[in-house]
Amino acid sequence: MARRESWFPHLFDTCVWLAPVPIAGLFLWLLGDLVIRGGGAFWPVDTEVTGIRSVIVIAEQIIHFLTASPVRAGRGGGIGPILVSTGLILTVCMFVALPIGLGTAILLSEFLAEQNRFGRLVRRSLDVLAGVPSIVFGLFGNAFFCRFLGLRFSIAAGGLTLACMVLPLLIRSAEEGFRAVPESQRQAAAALGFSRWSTVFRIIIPQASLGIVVGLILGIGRAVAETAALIFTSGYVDRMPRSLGDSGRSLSIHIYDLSMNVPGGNENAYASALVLVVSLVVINVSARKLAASFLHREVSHT
Amino acid sequence: MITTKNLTIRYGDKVALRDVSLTFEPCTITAILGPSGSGKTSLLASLNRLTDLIPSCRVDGSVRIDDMDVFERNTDVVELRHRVGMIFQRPILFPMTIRRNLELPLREHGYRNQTLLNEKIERTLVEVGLWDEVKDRMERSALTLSGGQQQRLCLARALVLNPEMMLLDEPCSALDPVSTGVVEELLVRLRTKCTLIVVTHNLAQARRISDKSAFLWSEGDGGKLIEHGETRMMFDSPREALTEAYLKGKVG
Amino acid sequence: MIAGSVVVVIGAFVVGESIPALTHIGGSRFMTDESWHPAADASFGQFNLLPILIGTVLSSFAAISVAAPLGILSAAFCQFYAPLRVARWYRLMIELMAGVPSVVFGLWGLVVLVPIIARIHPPGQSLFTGIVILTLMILPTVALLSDAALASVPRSYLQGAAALGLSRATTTLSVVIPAARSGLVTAVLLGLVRAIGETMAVVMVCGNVVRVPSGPFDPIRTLTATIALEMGYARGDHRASLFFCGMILLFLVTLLVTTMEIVNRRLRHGTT
Repeated sequence: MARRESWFPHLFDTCVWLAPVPIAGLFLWLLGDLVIRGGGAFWPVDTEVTGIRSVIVIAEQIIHFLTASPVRAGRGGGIGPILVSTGLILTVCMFVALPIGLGTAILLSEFLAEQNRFGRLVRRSLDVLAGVPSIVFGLFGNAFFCRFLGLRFSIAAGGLTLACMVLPLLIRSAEEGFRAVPESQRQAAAALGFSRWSTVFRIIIPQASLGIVVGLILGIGRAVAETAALIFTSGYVDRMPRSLGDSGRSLSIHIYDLSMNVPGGNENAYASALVLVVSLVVINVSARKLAASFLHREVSHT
Repeated sequence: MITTKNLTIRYGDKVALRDVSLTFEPCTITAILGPSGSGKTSLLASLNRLTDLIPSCRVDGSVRIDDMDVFERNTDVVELRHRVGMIFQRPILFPMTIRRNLELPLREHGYRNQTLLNEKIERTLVEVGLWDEVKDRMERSALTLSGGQQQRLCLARALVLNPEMMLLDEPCSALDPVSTGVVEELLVRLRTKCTLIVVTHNLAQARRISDKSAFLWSEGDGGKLIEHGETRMMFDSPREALTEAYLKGKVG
Repeated sequence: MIAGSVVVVIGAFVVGESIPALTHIGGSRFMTDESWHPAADASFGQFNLLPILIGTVLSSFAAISVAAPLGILSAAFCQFYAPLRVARWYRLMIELMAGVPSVVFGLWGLVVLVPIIARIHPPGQSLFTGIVILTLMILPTVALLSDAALASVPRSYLQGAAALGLSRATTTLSVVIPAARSGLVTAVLLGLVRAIGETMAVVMVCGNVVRVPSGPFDPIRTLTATIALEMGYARGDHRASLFFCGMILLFLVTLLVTTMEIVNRRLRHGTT
């Protein structure tokens, strides 16, 4: 009885233990490569500089990189204007996505019953939206924001396109935050005579704020990583933007451009990639920390 | 005075309460008795229209508070819930400070003057016997209180609006005996200014505190009113055989 | 009222995509033309999309067929086999992987992988490289979703299996995985959706030659890459045909998402 199957479980076990190996291996290789090549851009060229001075030199180089403008199509100089553009695009994105997302989430979870037909339609379209490839968003953004609305290649268009992309994520996070608030809170509020809207604003949202903020941060994380949606909406220009109507390049587009179109741009591409990944890690860690600290507050309250 | 007439409550196809007609005299404590599933909570929920929160719920028959028809379309539900307060089985406090838990309902109903608010809050806390225990911790989270204190805070929160009626759904079932005693004592004191309706599983409690009792029983097709009258009379010499059996612990 | 704007967005989508209706100067030409040499005027250009479509299909399906078992196995590893600390770090790593932007994967692929593969079988940019990178990229999606699916299997199943003395392998294979079926199917399908939609990494790593590959080391081009590369200068009918590519992508994705919903509904009614 046990003997017949004795080889199979072992085979499966082996497979399970083996599976993470190539995954972890390849990814750690990628990370290591990123850090080494990316960090290599900041390493002091002058080998005589050692010890504390080298740390200072590295810090200087990093700051220079983060603030200076790109030179010679990005082979030299830094990514200052690009960071500014990226920041502006993100700001536009969040400014638009947050109210719409929050409003929709409130509507879906507080005002519409589970079976409501409109609610289901909205939910289904959000699901589809979440799966749409980013390049298609780029196409849509180009056709709608750039052409139809006449925004041309601009930060505004890019931000709006990103807002569309980030919306399903935000709504889902917010909804989950709302759902986490126990039904009893709504009952207690109702019994005390709170109107529907009061309940939402004074009782539910404060308690769901965790889910909302986490969703926001994750949305930012997703938006920062986006490239394909921005190529035809926010443009390629690597100068410092002067207004939201100006074209501006995001960090990920910069990386793409440097590696594909600029011979010799690989070094700075790697450095930019390092900056990008580090910021993403910071974003994700802070989201996590926030979530954890909130949980602690709920439990201990002193 | 609250009256229900032919009150029937349905959730979808299921009948929770069937054809119940009751009168609750002002400034009395009425105990609603009966086993699980006999519609006691539904009855309570209909009195302050909390049934509105449940989409599949349908209410037939009428509920009147003095001259106000509770379920009429024009009835101001917010005003209704100002007059009728509710306490749940487990204390449901907002995750905020003690002070804010008490202030929020007041602000919601239009009271803005800070001095007036503080006054009302202090008065109510004294009334429920919590003032000495919490006066130094008003800015701490309400969730740091013990079970009994939390339930009393819930009572205070409902009382701060000065309701004419209080609906209590097994208010002591989650509390230890000492806290239960404190709450029961409080309820008896409140009788002088409020009409109280208490759903309870605890027959001894009903006997201890209530003036009148109503006994609900369900055969599976909705809770019906079996008997209703003075508590003492019902316990000592019940009219219905079913009531007697329940009170003696033989059924339910 | 606010939700209406969401629906407007969806609607605007359809409007935007109907611009390729201009394309219907072509139509069946997308299959029968000689090659893909698009021009602004339909009568001058060639619009055969077939090799490009095959490129998309081959790369994504191949990637998911590797990523799916790997992802599910690694989820099983994380949930049932690894000691708690290892599992926590592993899961963290996968979550990190999920957040890495596609350009970074593409960059690494371009600078590191391509030369290595070029040494085995020139040129380096090929279908194979694309599959490797795509697999890496969709793996975290599959793994994380599978992990969640496995985690949501009721503890009672595990206890029951343990009480019967079943080995870990048998429990995982015969009890847990079937129980988590719908979640796993979702994970795999969503991974596929992501693979189909991936743009930047494939552009950087696949070679972008429009040709039906005769072997895995030939360069290919995908629908997404075509849009990305040509949108910058496409005019008129050419531009419309690119939108048509977008429509095909939308269609594929919607098909997959609907399949997923149907399968999920059927699975959820099958089990209890």
